[in-house]
Amino acid sequence: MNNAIYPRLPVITGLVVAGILLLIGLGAILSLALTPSANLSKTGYGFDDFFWDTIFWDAIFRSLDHGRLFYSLKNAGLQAALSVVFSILVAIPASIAVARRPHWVGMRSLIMLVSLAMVLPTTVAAMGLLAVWGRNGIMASICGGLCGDFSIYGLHGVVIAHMMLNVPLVMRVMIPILNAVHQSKWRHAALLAMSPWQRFCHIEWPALRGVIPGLSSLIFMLCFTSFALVLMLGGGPKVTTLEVEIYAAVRFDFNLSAAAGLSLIQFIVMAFVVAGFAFWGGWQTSGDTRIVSAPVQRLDLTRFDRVFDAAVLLGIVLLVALPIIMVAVRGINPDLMTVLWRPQFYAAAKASFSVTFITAGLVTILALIMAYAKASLSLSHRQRDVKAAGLMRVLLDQGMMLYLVIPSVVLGTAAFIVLRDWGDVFGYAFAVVVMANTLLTLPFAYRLLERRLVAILAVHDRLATQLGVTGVNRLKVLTLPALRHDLGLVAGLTAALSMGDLGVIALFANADFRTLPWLLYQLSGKYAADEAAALAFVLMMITVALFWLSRMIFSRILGGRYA
Amino acid sequence: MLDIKNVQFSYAASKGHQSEGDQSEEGMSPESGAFHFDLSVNPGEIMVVEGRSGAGKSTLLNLVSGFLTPSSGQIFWQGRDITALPPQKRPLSMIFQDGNLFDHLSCRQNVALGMTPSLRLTQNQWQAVDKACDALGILSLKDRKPADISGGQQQRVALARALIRAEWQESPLLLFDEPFSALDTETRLDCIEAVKTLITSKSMTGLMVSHDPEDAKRLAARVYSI
Repeated sequence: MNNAIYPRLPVITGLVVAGILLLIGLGAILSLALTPSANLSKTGYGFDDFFWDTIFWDAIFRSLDHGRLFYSLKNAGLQAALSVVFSILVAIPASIAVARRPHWVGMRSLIMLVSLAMVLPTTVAAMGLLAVWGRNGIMASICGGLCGDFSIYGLHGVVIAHMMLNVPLVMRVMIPILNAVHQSKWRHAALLAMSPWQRFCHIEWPALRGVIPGLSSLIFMLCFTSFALVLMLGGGPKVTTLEVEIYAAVRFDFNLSAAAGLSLIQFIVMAFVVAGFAFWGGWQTSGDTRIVSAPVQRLDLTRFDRVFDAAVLLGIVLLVALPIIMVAVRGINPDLMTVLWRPQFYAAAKASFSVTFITAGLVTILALIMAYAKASLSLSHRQRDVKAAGLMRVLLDQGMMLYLVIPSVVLGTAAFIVLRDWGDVFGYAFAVVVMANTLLTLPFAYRLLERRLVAILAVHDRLATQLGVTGVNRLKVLTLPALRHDLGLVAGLTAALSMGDLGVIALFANADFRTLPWLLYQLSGKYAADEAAALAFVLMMITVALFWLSRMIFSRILGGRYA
Repeated sequence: MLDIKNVQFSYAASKGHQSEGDQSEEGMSPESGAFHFDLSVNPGEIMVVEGRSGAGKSTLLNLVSGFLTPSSGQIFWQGRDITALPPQKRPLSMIFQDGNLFDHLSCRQNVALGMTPSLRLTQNQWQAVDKACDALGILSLKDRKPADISGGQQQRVALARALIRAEWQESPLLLFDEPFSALDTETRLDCIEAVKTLITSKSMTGLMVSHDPEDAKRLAARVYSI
């Protein structure tokens, strides 16, 4: 009977989409797995033979340079692990300081810069760090010869860059959690005369620790597969990662077997890492990203806290805010106009905007379809067969999780290998970049929307059904207006991320198809410092504008008359 | 007139549903975990349903509203069998303890949802919406969002929507599920008065689940205990 009340179409659509995505992902992995041994299969081995035999794995390993493989694997793992540890260690005191000092001068600007850093293209972040810590950076000019032999290039440079991008991410999750701590707890801390350390142990740490496994997993994945930053700040072949090796195998050696083997290893390592973190604490992010914090009176703070907060916030300014400011300072130079008038800039901007708009649209729609299916399946009062609904939810979630584990270069390599037989690989560049960007941002979009939709439907589903608000009316009057802020956030984040992405494009870029981040990467290596700085500034402004405009436009249009 | 004739229901898998023993004669038979309801309510009358938690009060409302299907028996509205109708086709409105309003819509739009789910109303219909708001004393709040008004005012907005549905959608049956439990005493009395006026003056039919025996007295209602 429940079928008569609740439409099944949204669930079926969501499952079909998830199924297609799952097939694309599995297809990509399979095509990679078979490539190294494809030559062997021509010499008389059947599929079963080489799949179950050691020949399959032999073929993969024979195509690889073992020394370099383990070196790059170790490097990728080490810098990712260090990035995770330091990002979280810095973000915890920073979140605490921001949360309890809402009235400090400049706090709003700092928060704005921090949230900007989350969507900053990696290439731009690298330019900003170089402007602060590089050979001609402001730090070098301030301390003159004193800190003369400090160089940003190397493993520590990569880690600092990762911290610059990920500390804001962690703060974004932790600050609302701290704001949501009940005021009475802070009062008790004051009444019981807790020391700052005791307060941390009894109030702040218990509130925050739940999100740490999930955030660690996320940061590890982002850093392990980091690519642009390693190229720009690694400082030569000394610091290399799997991702860079794959890129080199495809672009320079044209050794697709090696690329396939490396991609497969990267995929397997990532899968193990994600599974490990999932075992530790599962994927957890804060539910509501729009908690409005009522200013809480804090009587428990001591003078020590004041000094501590000032020091921590100064650190955040140096790490996050200063590089961003320096991008603007260095970018506004006489070459700004030169860059803007170059035909390469126009071509790249056109390509970037096309990719961005299509990706943002696709991601928003697909995420909404799947989130709606998940939410429908999560409502216990809708289900007759609870077990089947549970299985379908798992399918949706796992279909999305897969793309958290597949890095963009892996997806790109698979596309490269599959398309190779279909003619000119570079002719498909646009479609491949759109597909890769879509698939890679979809999991985040899905997570964001799914949580909100489950919450909204849990409150309103029966009431709306009873009032007969169903089908298109439900979408137009209730679902879209209620979700408008979240959809805007999803579209804005997706647009900003795909505008700044330097992943798949690195494999497919060619004279006819370049994006702005790729152009910036090329310029930065060409001793055209002023032009590169100008382009970095332009790219940053475009990203920020996309982020804010998407959110505003979505709120307006979807809110419309109904909100 | 609402007629619930010999309606039986059991949660087949009955997972997570508490079944307390020793219930009163009309309610559920303890050993089977099944419920049995038999009652009728007249137009212009409200009936209060009392019983412990787990006795099946909410089950009764879900059966009448169509979110649950009886295993046997029938439900009649003015002589017409509505047992097989889906919830949105039944001539009724529901008012819960909270969550009766959509947060992103203004109070006026929330009331207008009772007129048409597409929220496309004619000039006449908007006037009727304002009139209903006025009848419940919330006209001055009509452009505010639910988050900006008090709990009692929110319930009045929901009542205004029920009034619209009664007058324009031929849905004069009102189901209440603990509608005032979250309100303070004074607001509670206010709301009860509003419900009483609504039921008698518009000759609507009410069925109310309540924990508080005082509610029945104040409404001068018959009590159905399970």
